[in-house]
Formats: sequence, structure tokens, C-alpha cells
Amino acid sequence: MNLWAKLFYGYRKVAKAIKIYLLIAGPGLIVMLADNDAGGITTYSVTGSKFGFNLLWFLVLLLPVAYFVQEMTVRLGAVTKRGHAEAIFHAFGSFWGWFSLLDLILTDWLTLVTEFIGMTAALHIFGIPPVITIIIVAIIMMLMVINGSYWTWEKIAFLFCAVNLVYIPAAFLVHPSVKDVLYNSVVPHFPAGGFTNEIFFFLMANIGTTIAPWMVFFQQSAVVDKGMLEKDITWGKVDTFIGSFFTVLVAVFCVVVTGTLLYGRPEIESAAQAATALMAINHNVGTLLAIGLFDAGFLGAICISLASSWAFGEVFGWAHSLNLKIREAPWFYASYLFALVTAGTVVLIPGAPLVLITLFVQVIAVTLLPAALVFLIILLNDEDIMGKYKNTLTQNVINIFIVVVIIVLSTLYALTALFPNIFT
Amino acid sequence: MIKKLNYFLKSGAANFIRNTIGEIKAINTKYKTPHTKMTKSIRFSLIMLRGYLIVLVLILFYKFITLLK
Repeated sequence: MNLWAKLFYGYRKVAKAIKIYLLIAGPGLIVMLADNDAGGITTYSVTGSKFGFNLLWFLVLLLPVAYFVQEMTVRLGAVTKRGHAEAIFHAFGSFWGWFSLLDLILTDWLTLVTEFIGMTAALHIFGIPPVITIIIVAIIMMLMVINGSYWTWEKIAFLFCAVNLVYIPAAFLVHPSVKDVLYNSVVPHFPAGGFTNEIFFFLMANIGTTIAPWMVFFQQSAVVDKGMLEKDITWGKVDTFIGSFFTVLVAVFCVVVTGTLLYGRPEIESAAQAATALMAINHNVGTLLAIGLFDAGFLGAICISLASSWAFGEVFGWAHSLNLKIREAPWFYASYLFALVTAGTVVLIPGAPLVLITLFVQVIAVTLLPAALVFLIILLNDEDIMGKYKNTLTQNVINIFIVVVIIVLSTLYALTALFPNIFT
Repeated sequence: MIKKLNYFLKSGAANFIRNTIGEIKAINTKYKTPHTKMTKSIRFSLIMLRGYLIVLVLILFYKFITLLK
């Protein structure tokens, strides 16, 4: 075979692989970018302004953590054709099923409120009143789902995922020291002053934003709704890996932006504050951060509200697919709209305890996360359910280690949120 | 008219509650028995999980009480 023929053959092979990937891509990429939700962007912004680039290495470490946990949902969804809520009911009975479902609904709803807080704060920077933001967001989110096509929803979600990458151009605009960014990304260390309680709190917060209970439920249900089969598992894993890569990339670039321009400003306590402060230094960068915060909240909101509706539908046996029209799955869309409207309304109530809700999300999530992860590991080890797709020994060692670390750290994070002086 | 509306709302709400309770009962019956094999390690994991959740709920309860005080 001559060189041209070899090159052409190679090109065809790569083109075919990309084509197949584009067909399968979706759940992994969307869930991972939605993981950088309003709470996530707030955590990264504050991490950068408090510690500069010093904790970048920790964010890089979170790539395998996110990948290994979420990859299990791909296999479980593709093999069982069941969402996580239904899988828990089926495998562990109604006690654990109801516990998981009700906890998920509560956690999702509280998280949805925090997404609305993020979106309204972001658009408030541009002078848009919260009530307008909430109405517009609710309309867009309903329009995304009412056409009765998972494919269309996914492609629109991709557009918002692309906007999530605004932190990359923003980072180039602030001209950070590339040498410093690379050094801090690969060499684990702590800022001058060593390991403090505050650093510990932020490490836990970053882990908490990387793996959230709704992600497990969302990706498994999305895999089922997309109709992925066992033969698609490899590409589903590729999708999840690419998603994990982008989620960490966005997190790193977000920290680079605030770490370059706001390092040493401990008064920054939210992404909206960071965006406002950045506007005074570099208007374009501040604007990009605010747009990114809105988009992060929006991506989080579309995934979280769907995770709840899918879970409800699976358990109650209602029609629950984005491929169905409203009249074919009325309860699915009604629960989706109900969650949106009530969460949005709470943000508009004057004097609503929004700070308490934000605090409560972290604590309630910790009651669900360990259960969801333990169930995931047990299900993935059940040969009757998973067949040849069950966890291998290596996967078990890695996954159990990750799950134990997540459970310990997220519990400590919740305790610190409840009792701020517990470790002083 | 108001009487009819009242009746409609009452009967609608009653039907909704009755249907929901019926659905929950059906779900409980359908998923009465766990389908996963309850090996020793799974039993241990579930007991640990129960213990963990009880402790967490007690801590939340304590926080709630101290907040009220």
C-alpha cells in the first residue's frame, strides 16, 4: 500500500470514529459540563481569589474521580435500561428506593434554587431584574423539552455547553504566567502558610462540586432515554472521559482568571462578586465571567430538573422520555415545570432564606451521595445484572477508594458547613 | 355554581390522593423483595449506610434544636 492510500485509509478510519462518537456523544459531555453549575463556578472563583493558582493540581486530580464514578452509570444504564432510581428500587427494595427518590427530589429542588440564585445574580450585573430572568429561563427551558425529541434537547444543551467554555478565552485575556499555571497544575503543594482549615474546606468544596448525587441519576437516565445499548458502552466511556476533561479544563481556566486578577482579595465570596470586581479591572473578562455564571446555572438547572422528572417517571411508571410529546407524558413534563416554577418563585420571595438554602444543599446532598455511590458499586458488582460488564478487580479497587474518599470528605464538608468552628 | 366548584375540587383532590396512595401501594408491592443477592458484604454495607444516615440525621436534629435555642 503506498503512502497516500495509507493516509486515506487512516483518514477514513478517524472520520468514521468521529462520526460514531458524535452520534453517541451527549449524556457524558452534558452532565460533566453541567457539573460546573452556579455552585461550581462560585467555588472555583473563590478558590482562585483566595489561593491563586496554588490548588490547580487538586482540580486536575478530580478528572479521574469524575470519570470513574460517572463511567459506571453508563454501563449500568446501557445494560439494565433502567434509570438509577428504578435500579435502586429493583435491587434493594422499596425502603432504599423511597429513601433515594425522596432525598433526590429534595436535593435537586434545593440545588435548583441555588442555580436560579446564580442565574439571577449573573444577569443582575447587566441590570436585568430577577423576575425577568426567571420568566425567560423558565420559557427557554420549557421550549427545549416540548418538541418531543431527545435529540433536539441534546443539541440545544450542547450549545449551552459550548458557552460554558467562555472561561478559556477569558483566561487568555488576562495573560497569566503559563509557566506558573503549568507548574501549579502538576506539582501538588499548598500556599505559603501550609495546610489550614480554610484550605481543607475548599478542597472539600471542590470535591463536592465535582460529584453531586443528581449527576449519577441524570447520566444513567439520559443513557436510557438516548437508547444506548451494550455495544455503545465504549463510546459512552469516551464521551464521559471527554466530558471529565472539559469539566476540569473549565474549572482550571476559571481559577486561572480569578487567580490572576483577584488573588489576595479575601472579600470575594461568590462568582457574581468576582464578576463585578473583574469588571472594574477588565470589563470584557468580567462580562465573560458573568455570562459563564448564567450559563452554568442554566446548564445545571436543565439537567437537575430532568433528573428529578426521569426518576419520578421511572418509579411511578409514568411515560418519561424527552422523545414523547406533552400529551403522551403529561406527568413527566408537569413535574419538570413544577420544579422549575417553584424553585424560581422561591428566589423571588423577599427575605427568603437563600443563604440557609445554599448551606442546606451541601448537607442534604451528603445524605444522598454515599447511598447513591454505594448502590452504584453494589449494582456494578452484581453478575446477574451486569454480566460481562460488571466491575473488574482494578475498577473495584479504584472505585471503592474514590467512593470512600468522597464519602469521608463530603461528610466533613457538611459538618464544617453546619458547625463552622468544628475543626478549630 | 360555587357548590359545584367546591364539589369538583373536593372530589378531584380526594381522587388524586386516593390514586397516589394506590400507586404507592402498588410500587411497594412490586418492589417488596430486593432482587440483588444479599451477600455478607452487601448486608454489611447496607447496615453501615443505615448507621451513617442515622448519625447524620441526629446531627441535623441537634443543629436544628441549637438553632431554635
